[in-house]
Amino acid sequence: MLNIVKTISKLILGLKVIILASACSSFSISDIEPWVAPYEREYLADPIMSFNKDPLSNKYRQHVFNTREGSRGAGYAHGGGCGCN
Amino acid sequence: MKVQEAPDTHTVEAVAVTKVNTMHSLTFKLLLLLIMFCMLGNSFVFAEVLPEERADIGYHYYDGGGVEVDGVTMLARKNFAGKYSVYGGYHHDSISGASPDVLTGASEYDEDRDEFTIGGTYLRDNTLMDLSYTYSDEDDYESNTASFDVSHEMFGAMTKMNIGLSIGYDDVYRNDLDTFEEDLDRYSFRAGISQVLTKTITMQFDYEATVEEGFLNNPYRFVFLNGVSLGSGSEEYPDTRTGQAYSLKGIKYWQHRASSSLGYRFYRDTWDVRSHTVDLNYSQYIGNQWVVDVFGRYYTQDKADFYSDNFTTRLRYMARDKELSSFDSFAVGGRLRYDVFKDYKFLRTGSLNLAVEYLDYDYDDYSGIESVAEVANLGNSGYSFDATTIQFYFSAWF
Amino acid sequence: MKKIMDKRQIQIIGLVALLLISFVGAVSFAKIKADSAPDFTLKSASGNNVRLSELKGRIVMLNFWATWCGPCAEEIPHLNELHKSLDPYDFELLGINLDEDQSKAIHLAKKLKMNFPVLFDIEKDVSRSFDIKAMPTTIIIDRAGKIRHVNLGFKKGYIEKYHRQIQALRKE
Repeated sequence: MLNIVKTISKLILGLKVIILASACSSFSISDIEPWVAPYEREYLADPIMSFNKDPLSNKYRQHVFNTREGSRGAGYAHGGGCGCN
Repeated sequence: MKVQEAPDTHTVEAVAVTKVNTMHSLTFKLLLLLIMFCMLGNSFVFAEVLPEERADIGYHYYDGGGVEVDGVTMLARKNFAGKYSVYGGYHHDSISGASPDVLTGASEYDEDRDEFTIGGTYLRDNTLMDLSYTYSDEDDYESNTASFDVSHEMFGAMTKMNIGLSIGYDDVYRNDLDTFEEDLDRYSFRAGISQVLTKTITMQFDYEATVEEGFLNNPYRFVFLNGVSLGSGSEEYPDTRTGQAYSLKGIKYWQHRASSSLGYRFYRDTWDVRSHTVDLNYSQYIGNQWVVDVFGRYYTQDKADFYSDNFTTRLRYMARDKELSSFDSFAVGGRLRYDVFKDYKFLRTGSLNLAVEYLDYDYDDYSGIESVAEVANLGNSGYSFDATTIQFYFSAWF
Repeated sequence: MKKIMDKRQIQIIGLVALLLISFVGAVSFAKIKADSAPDFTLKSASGNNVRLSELKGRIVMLNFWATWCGPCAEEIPHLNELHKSLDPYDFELLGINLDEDQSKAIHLAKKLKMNFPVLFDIEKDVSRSFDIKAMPTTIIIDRAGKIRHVNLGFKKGYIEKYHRQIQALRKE
């Protein structure tokens, strides 16, 4: 059983390397053509389109949740003490 | 192109959980690094820019669950020579109250926390590199965190990838026991990808693994064993904790000068804590000077496998911190931004902001009982509290 | 304690990310840059139409900009100076604006005292035909109407670079 798992894992790893290599080669021979051109970014450039438009306020808010909940990480504030013990 | 192979991670089932996790995140790390190097070999045309130069100064207030916290907070960023950026922040919490959590150590308490952050960002072509250090100090807790983050834009700035690393070192003390001193080491690795989908939609996926090693207990809390308190500091936690968080969020622009965003996060760790978080936000411009935000959040958590309000048998690990119990929480809030001026001397925009949020925490298996006199009510789950936060701040862009 | 992370899950995440990336790579294709500047007629802020081919015989500089683009606004005062310093019979500078709302562009143009014509590429056709890859993009076209320089973004030293590029073309 363990051997099968091992083999599958190795195959997946191999596949990853192949895809990676092909991805690399396709990048180097051609420029990527973005489907939203740089001159079409008016709305995306708007400050209200930022996930973190109020960094100070956001950091505080995440701290309030972090100190009261048992979860952390992934796009949420990290580091620092708690002020809650 | 030289492809570096990830180390063999075909571990047998019996290998310690922490080790497996470390190996996995290592594989993931190496893969991401490979992708990044692969990208760096190519030339991209849309230039990445440094974060905006801005300064914020404000006051924050929290009131709920028998605790009041308030203080000032500030953050400023300045760019140089088009490729360097430095920033600094200060945050103060003045805490007072008597929540059940703290009743155990002392009846009433007052305490201060100061947090300082300094950091620098370096821009090179389409890559931003950021190094920062945060120091936080309070009577019974001292925390140091160093972070390094790299982000890279590609595909004509359609895609942005980022990886980051934090290393933290904390000292835990007890206000009532001078001889008490414990350490906590924290490590976190994160990776994310943000993708422009259409002219009005962007999505972002984030992953973060956190590893904590050391003293993870609350030093004051006690546990109940069949209704008998085992005394202050009787909690016993494992000395490692590894967590994984995955988040996916999207934001859309609406033609009536508004945006809405939706985010979801899943978290789980080796203590068997699992949580789901859903975040919503809606922002709307009103006229030329106002922005209104309305936001909401729902959070639900499953308890750690060694949590109990009242243990029936003595276990190796025992916790009674409500942070580790099962609970639901929701929050609703709003923010009002008013642009006071535009182009005044060297300032581009100055705005006043007021944010108010209401929070509610509802516990499934935490009774809130913290005194021996009330032990008869143990097991009657149903502690809950609500809280209000207010933030008032001034932001300036220059 | 449970084993919380399945190795295969991580591999699947990696795999999906890579597949996504290789897919984007596969659909991409290299565009051949037109040597000759594609002609256009655009309405200017002052109301008249400007046609590129009518400017043949002069060195033409096209600056693609928008009010929502930070570096663009930063560059404009420098472009004003560049425009002032060059002989108008030999050189033309056109600012091609890409805002959805043209009143925003007019407002900023006034504020920054833009001294060169602002044209509106409302349908984005001109940007498409020039294959604009960054904001701002500054294109320099020679007297014969051929694209000679494409400058992406705006950084320190770019104005000096534009001067050099224009001087070299003037000597031809």
